[in-house]
Amino acid sequence: MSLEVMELSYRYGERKILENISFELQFGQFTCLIGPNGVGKTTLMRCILRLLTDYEGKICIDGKSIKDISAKQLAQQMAYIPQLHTPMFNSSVLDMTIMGTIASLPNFSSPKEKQRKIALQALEKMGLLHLKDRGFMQTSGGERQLTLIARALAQQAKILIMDEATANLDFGNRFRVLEQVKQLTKEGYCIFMTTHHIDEVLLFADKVVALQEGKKIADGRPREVVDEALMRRLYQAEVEMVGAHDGQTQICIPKRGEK
Amino acid sequence: MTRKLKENRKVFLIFLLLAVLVAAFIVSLGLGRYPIRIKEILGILGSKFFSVEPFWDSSAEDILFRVRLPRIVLACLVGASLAVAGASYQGIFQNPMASPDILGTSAGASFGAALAIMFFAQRGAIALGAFVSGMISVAFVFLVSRKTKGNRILGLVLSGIMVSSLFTAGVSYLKLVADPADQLPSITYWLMGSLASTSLNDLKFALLPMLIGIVPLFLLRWQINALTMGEEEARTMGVNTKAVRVTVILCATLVTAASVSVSGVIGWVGLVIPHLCRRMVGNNYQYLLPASLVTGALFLLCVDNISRNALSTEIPIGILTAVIGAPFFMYLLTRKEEQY
Repeated sequence: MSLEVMELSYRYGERKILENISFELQFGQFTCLIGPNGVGKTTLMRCILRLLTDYEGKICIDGKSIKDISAKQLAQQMAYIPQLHTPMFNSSVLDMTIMGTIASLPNFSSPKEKQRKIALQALEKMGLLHLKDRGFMQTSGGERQLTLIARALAQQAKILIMDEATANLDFGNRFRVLEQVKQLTKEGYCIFMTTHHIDEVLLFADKVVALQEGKKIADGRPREVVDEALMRRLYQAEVEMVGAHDGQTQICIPKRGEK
Repeated sequence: MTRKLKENRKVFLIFLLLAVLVAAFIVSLGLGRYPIRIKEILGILGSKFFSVEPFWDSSAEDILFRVRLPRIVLACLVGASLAVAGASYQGIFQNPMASPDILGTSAGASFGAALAIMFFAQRGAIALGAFVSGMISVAFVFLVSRKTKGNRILGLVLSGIMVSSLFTAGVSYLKLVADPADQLPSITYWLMGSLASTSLNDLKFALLPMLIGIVPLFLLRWQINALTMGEEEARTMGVNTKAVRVTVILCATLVTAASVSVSGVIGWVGLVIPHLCRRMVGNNYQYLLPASLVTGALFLLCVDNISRNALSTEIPIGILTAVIGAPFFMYLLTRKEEQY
């Protein structure tokens, strides 16, 4: 079981945003997408989510093009976890989570007791059960992000696409969210996340895909792929790789005072 | 446990409002130049279902069924329709300021209706004119607001003001060229909004489009919930956003146009009532729509009672809803507590 991106290209008018990109997302793996701002990460994600369809190439889930799957079926296989945002109308954490269940409901019908149970289970998994009656906007940033993950779980999709899900979180919340995400991969979820934090990639991801000017320039295990050269190429940053956790992992820190 | 209570509290509140509405309905039947006592009202209403020995004047029965009942039922229907339409618009435009008045639906509908009054003076034509022209104005506002830069709420409101003012100008022109003997007064009076001289035919005429509009809105409550999260998020949740949005706009505009065609322009209900209900039962459309329906009916019924009883001459109801609605909205705006 996997999600495959095959020779994906996307143009916006004359401009090439994505050029001939191929990679594979495995179930039970946490894959991160890195690259500087404006490199096409969001476009790539939107293609995978089928919010954009005028691309060349193919995106397949288990060998079947996502263009041939109905919106509802797609939503039952793939869920989107957006960046933290402020909804126009506040709703309770539980209502927010129940919203995910409408993916599996026929049109013109409302969630019932069964859907409520699914939502409650999702909240329990994220450790949010005690907050279910709280207003979404009355919870902390980390709790809100976890609620959005719970909503994706309630959608009962196995592929989770996260857009910089940790971008607006404080230090503690970031890692609490990532621990939960890691736990989900162990349960067989396929998780794809865009991020600007290389530490997250090195500490948590099973695989990393790096984009530069619309082209894939690296793809593989973070330990093997992320190095001084890649950071220089991607971000024009001079970094130093430092061992941590008794040499089991590496992190990268910027060098100071040098250009 | 708390959830059960909380949910029950919302359901309980909606039923409480419904009970108040029924009580207000019966009391309203007694109010008027010719007072009818509650006992007589219950007797007359009961005699339709059971055999009751008449202990009332036959003129009481006549007034009740011919004059008051149609008008009171229509007040409830129009109030409910406008409130439900407002709440629905707010959801799919993700915009707390969306309502039939601000979106220009009312202005658009009144232009179509005024045009129809001039050329056809026929009920069906007036309604159709109101609907078509209302739809055009919503579509126009929606398209223009998408092109505006920056704040989306402001963009929608400004587009609404722009389109409203165009249609209002159109109405002014129609008034200018209308026959001052009969067309002009009828357009003018009708624009102020009035439920006076409601007949049973008005009722029959408005009921069907209102039902056709409101039922799908109720069935789409959770899809509207998802749409309040934004277009793309809703799509990734498997919602056919285009179809839902178009359906909701069509239905909300249909009920607005049906209301406008029988009662003229009654402002503020579609904005104030949904916000009041958001304060009472939260933003989940599962509860918000029923609450808006009942509260809208109750509100317009009470306002209509003032309209027909406060002074010896009738006060057009559109004037009253503005006088009551605007300050009340001010009060809602400045209060901080929030329900969810």
